[in-house]
Amino acid sequence: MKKAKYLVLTGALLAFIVTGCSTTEEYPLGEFATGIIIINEGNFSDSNGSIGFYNESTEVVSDDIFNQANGVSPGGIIQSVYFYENLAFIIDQAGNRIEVVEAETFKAVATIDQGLTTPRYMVISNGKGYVSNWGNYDANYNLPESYVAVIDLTGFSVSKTIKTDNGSEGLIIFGGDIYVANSNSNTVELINTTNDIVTGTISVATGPRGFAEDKNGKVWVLSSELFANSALSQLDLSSEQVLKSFIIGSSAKSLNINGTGDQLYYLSAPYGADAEVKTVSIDATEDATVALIVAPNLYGLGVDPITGIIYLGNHNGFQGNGTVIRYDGDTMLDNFAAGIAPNGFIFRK
Amino acid sequence: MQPRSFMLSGRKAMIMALKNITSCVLRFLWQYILLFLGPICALAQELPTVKLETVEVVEQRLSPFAIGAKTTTLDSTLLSLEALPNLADIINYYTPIAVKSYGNGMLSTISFRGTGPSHTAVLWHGVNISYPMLGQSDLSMLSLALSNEVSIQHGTGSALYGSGALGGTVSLSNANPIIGTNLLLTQWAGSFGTYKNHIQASYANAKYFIKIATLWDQSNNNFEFNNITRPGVPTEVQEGADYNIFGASVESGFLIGKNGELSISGQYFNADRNLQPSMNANYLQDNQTDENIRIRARYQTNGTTINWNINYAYLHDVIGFNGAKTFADQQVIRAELEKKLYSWLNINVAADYNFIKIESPFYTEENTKESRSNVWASLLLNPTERLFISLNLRQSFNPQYKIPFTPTLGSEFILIKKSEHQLRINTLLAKGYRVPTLNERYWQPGGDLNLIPEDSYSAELGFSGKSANHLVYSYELTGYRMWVENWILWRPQGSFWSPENVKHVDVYGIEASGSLEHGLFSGKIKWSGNYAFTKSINRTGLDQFDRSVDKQLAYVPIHRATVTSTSEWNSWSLLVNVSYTGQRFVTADNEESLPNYILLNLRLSKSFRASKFLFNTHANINNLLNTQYHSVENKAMPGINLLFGLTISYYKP
Repeated sequence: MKKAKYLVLTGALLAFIVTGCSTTEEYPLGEFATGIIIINEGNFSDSNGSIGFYNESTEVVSDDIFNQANGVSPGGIIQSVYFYENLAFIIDQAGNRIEVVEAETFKAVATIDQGLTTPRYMVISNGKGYVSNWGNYDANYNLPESYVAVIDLTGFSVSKTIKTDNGSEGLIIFGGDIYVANSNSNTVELINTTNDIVTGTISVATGPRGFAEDKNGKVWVLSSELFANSALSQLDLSSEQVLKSFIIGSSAKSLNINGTGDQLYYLSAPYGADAEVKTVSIDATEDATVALIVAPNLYGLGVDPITGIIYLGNHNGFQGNGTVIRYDGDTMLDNFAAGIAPNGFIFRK
Repeated sequence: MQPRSFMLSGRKAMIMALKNITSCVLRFLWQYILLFLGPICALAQELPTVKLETVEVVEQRLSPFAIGAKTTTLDSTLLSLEALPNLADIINYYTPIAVKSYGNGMLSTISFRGTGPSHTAVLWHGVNISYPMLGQSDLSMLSLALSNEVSIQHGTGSALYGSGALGGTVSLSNANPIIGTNLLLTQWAGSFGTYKNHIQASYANAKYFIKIATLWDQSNNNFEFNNITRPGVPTEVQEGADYNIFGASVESGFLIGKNGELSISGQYFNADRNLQPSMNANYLQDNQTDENIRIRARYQTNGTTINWNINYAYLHDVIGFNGAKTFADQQVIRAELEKKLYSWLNINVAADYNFIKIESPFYTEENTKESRSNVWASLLLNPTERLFISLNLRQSFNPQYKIPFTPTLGSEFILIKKSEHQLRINTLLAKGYRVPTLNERYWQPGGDLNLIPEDSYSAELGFSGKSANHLVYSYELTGYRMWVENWILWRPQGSFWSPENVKHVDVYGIEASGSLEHGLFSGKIKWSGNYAFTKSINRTGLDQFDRSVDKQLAYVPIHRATVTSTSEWNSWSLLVNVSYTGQRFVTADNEESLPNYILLNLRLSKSFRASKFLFNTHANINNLLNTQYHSVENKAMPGINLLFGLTISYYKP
């Protein structure tokens, strides 16, 4: 009799749980649907990259979400992650592979491990993926074999390669076509996505790395080269013109733009001094005179497009796990432990 | 890691290994027949008197002035039965010192007493053979087929051995051959296409000796492993880790006049390795070649009160990485004078000059040159029968940076001195230093000419005893502390890395070792064991977010232990070797680690005599437990594997 009572209770509880779950939403939202993705590059010698996740509302940090979802760490040197519709592409430059996962759960979908040589960044346009690849170094440590790999998104394989100038790096979609920054040269090349061939070249300051598009539809490119000043250039891609270009601090990287598209942010890491976060308006014609933030060991930068909060990745000298430090303007808010060498952030909102 | 899957694959691995072996043995025997049948037939007509080469194991100091320091001398009989190992294997199996291997047969660096790879001096016939660019040695590139004596001095020995001897000093040398004619042919063959050949011939009489040796060591190295970085932990075959090694050595010595002795040693070594990629890497592209020429000539006198020792060494190292080669040439001239001033006082004064030339595509200048010189003096006092005190003082000079004055004070007191039982107490106070390597100074970009030498202070106390009563045993217990300052660390500076004198590290630890020998039926069995407890603590925070302060250094196991038993029954012998490597943190903040592991190796040997020939056959089972372990994160290591060996030795007095 007593047992039966419990059974009824348990049954009711179960029914409540089951219905409670299934009635609120059409399908369950993935654990990592909204929040901040932290790209932990990993240590070069140990191939131990990972993906972290920060839930802003609960302030919970998940360390290795690929491992949580799949039982193994992604490993490798994770240069970047690209989100497209319900998929995310994890680009491992050491493993010459791309792990394709479900965007909201990070469950593994496919692996692309043929046809890539030091893959760096990815974009998807016209139903195809485009991945910049450095290719192998030559004896003088140049990158003469760089290319963009075209990815077939149904079979998840490389369908074509497009030779570029040395060191193909950052990519941006503009007017449905792809622009690639060739970091080991001084060119930005245009790839037509209809026939997948290079159809234009823009000369910019040496070492173009990354792009950001401002609110006026102009595209900015950050250039940096060893032992020289870095530069920011504003391009009009429709006319393939450099509108303006100015020198910025040394060893600059991580070009970001805020949510309203009018303020640029980048990291500068001068030799023998602490790193700097600098910000300039899109109307600027010269570098900011004062850094917004000065802090040691900075490696990654992200700007939340909604809140404007600045996320900084600190590599802790690559001696161990990194730290994420959050700033509101120049005021530090908080910090939390990340994986090894956090190099970038993706805001899923 | 799922332990269950290891057990399942163990059986499969064993079957695979056995399949592999059948073809190995056939090829192996065939090689032997072709190579050696001719000479054997010719020699077999000699009269049958076979003598087995045996070597007495004595606790031997690297230097008579190294009073107070713990020394481990590896049993050369044991080494001669090994499968032509390299120094990394031997240190891993038989000492408590930590070795970090980037794959099977790949770069292996030492961490002695919690220090880094450049904090152990590696000597060949007394000459430091660390690559001057790196200040460290790759232990997998030091074959014991060419240098058959290994002595290890624990703790700081900079006053005697110079730069880099902070954690310890490993000395390689060659024992003089026994009088007579000796020919030794050794071949091993085993799993994943591993073949090793060694030929050694020596002749010695009362006046002179000559010994030549060659080594071929090759492996496809395509072992199976469980890939823990892939979903489902699939079993995969390692690719791109094959290697090919050739080495040769000549050793010769002559007596000159009443008590003079001239000896010349030469070694050539050539290794071509494809560098084992990480388990999660998908490319096979890195290749490393190592080419070494080492020549040393020494004249010394063996008088009773005053002795000279003059050394000249030439070292030529070429390291190629994917075809980009770095050349290093070194010449070392050293003169030492030792004099017995009184029956209770010995002194030694010495000076050396070391000239280094590097040709590297990564350096600013095409030819980078550096010269270093040292003067040092040692006193050995023996005021009473039971007390020994040594004082060693060294000053090194480099035109570009100042090297601290380096003294060492050691003592040894014999507490119990009976014929059947002895107990000693050792103390040692030592200062150590390491000069910046040439990469740290000249690498472009990043090299910094303003670096200063790293320095350290250490203190240790030890007890050691041995007994040869009805039971033969020995034991040793040492405790130490060491403080390392100005530890050089490469840190990212802008878009490249640059070394800085930033780190302070405190080390403390305990080393224990013991051995026991007893009869077993008609044979005998010998046990030996080692244990090291090592706390190596970082005291430097790079910034306010650095969580590595007060944490154990990465890749320094807190616990390491080895146990070995060798048993002999008539012509049979069995070796059982167990080594335990504790958990190692892989990050400086100790947030990630590699689990501990146990390796079990077995070797069964049987010897036969036929005329003047001694045949020794061996069967090795390495990693019998099929442990899937990682010395370096994401680098696979082989599970159970087999090696079969045959040694034919010919001896004529």
